[in-house]
Amino acid sequence: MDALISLKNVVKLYRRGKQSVEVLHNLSLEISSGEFLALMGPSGSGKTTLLNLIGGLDRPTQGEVWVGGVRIDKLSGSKLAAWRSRHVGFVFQFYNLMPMLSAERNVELPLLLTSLSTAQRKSNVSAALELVGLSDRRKHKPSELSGGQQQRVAIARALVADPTLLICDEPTGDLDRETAEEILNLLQLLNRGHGKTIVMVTHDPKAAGFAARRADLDKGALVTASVAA
Amino acid sequence: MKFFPLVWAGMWRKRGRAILTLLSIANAFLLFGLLQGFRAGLDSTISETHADVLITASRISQVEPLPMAQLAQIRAVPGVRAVTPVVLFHGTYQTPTQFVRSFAVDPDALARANPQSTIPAAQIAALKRTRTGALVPSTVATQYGWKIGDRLPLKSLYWSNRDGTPIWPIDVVAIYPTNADDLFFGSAVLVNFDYVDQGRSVANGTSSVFLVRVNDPSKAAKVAAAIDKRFANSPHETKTASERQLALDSIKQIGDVGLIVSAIMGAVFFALLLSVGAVMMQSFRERSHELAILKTLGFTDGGVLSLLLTESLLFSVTSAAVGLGVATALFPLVKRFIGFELRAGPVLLVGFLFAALLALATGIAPAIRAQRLQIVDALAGR
Repeated sequence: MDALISLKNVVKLYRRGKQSVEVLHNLSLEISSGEFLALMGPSGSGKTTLLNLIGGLDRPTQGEVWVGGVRIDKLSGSKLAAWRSRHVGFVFQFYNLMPMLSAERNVELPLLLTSLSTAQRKSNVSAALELVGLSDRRKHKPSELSGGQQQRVAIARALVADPTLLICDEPTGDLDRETAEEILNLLQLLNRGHGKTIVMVTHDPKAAGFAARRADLDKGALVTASVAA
Repeated sequence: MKFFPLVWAGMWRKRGRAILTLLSIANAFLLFGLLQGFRAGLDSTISETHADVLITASRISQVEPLPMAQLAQIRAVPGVRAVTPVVLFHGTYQTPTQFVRSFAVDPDALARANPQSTIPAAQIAALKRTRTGALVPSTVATQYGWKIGDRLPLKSLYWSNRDGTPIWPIDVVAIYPTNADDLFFGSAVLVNFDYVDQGRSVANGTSSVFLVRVNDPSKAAKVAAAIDKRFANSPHETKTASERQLALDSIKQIGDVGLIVSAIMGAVFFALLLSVGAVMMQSFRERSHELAILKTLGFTDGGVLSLLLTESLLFSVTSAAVGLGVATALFPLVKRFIGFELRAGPVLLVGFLFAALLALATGIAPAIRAQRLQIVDALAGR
């Protein structure tokens, strides 16, 4: 398979006052199109930093980040924002929904940046909510939904603009075992049934088991990369 | 428009705080609307006074009577079209608080000298026919329940009757529509000059002032000077000024209304700027995580800045609309209590302009901070 994502000799330094901390050390990684990759590692190993670089939320101090043939670390701020809106869907541990908006308004957010008509946006939102099984909760606000339902809304929001890549940062970290499995099954369905490339950070080996490949990070470097059982 | 639900929802994110802030802004604009309405009303009233109407009063004091002999001399001044005596005849009805604004006039002469008069000729004729007659404005008739044919006791504030009492019986001969455009006579009870002059115990054969109408408004100042020159060095020197000048002088007696209004509003808006600014900054701090999510989803830095500024503008304008709306609704009520008509005029336009400036002043700092917000830092709670 072709590499959708390619990181070449990536270094990431964070400055904290007068100190600088190197979070990623000369890291190189390739992720194929349609792959489901689990990134694992202890706290502070650089998992989320790596995810942020792949998702275009942050830029490397050194090295190159290519996604879909575009060197995203060289894009300007506005072009990078536009690129994210078209190509990446994000799912976070704590859902990160807008508390004052209903489920359907939350899902519609990425579509506001497109030229779709109101009717088309509504149709896409309905399809996304149906896919995650929440058509009957469209008018509910996040506070009126369970954790699992909120995460489904977040997944619908990530999917609604039909991105190539899904970035998931501990998507089951705040859920009970049963709900977590439902969410992971949904992600697996999106990967296998809809061809979405998924990069998921997790602490949970069982969650990682849903991915096709697992990469372990430690102290800012890849230590293993294996095909999951 | 597609962003409207997002902006609107952002405004009401903390409903209780938003309502309190809205009320405080609305309250300031209510005050603004009333004070500016008062100022606009004054300006409008002054602008509606006629430049071709002069009032000749004693140079010593406006209450010092002038001899009627001056009437003919004024009429003879070149440029004078008509002149009429006017005696202040203000009084009270049944209780001291039932004030009645009234003038004793020569009905025919007043009709000629007062270009703003809209009293029908038949009513003027009715006043002339009845010595004790009175023309009553419709608002006063409604206020006290007077009707044609009523005989009423008017207690004069200035003049005693020949029986030694200040009570003057008057007969309502006509009720004319109150004319707000006629500043001096349009809402006053008018009685016959002869009835008052011959009936009073003192100052007979005098007039409080003379109302003078000139042929050419552009020469009003010259005519006024000619009248005053005619009586210079006489026992009854005069001071003649246009109706507009007198109105301005009256307003000056209560101070520079514009300055007072501006000072009050300046203080109110400064306080508002600080309090709303603090609320906006607090709101931004609480929402930095949500704003980072919007940026994550693809909203640009400029897009987030625009969203926050639009939200600030919408909130400020909505609040101002509430305040100015209530102020406008109160205008008729205020008129009923203080008898002065407030005017919306450009008040609403200026009010919304202030609201936009307030939005910009209080919203720009949080909007810029939102624009500069780093996604990774905000998501990590740094």
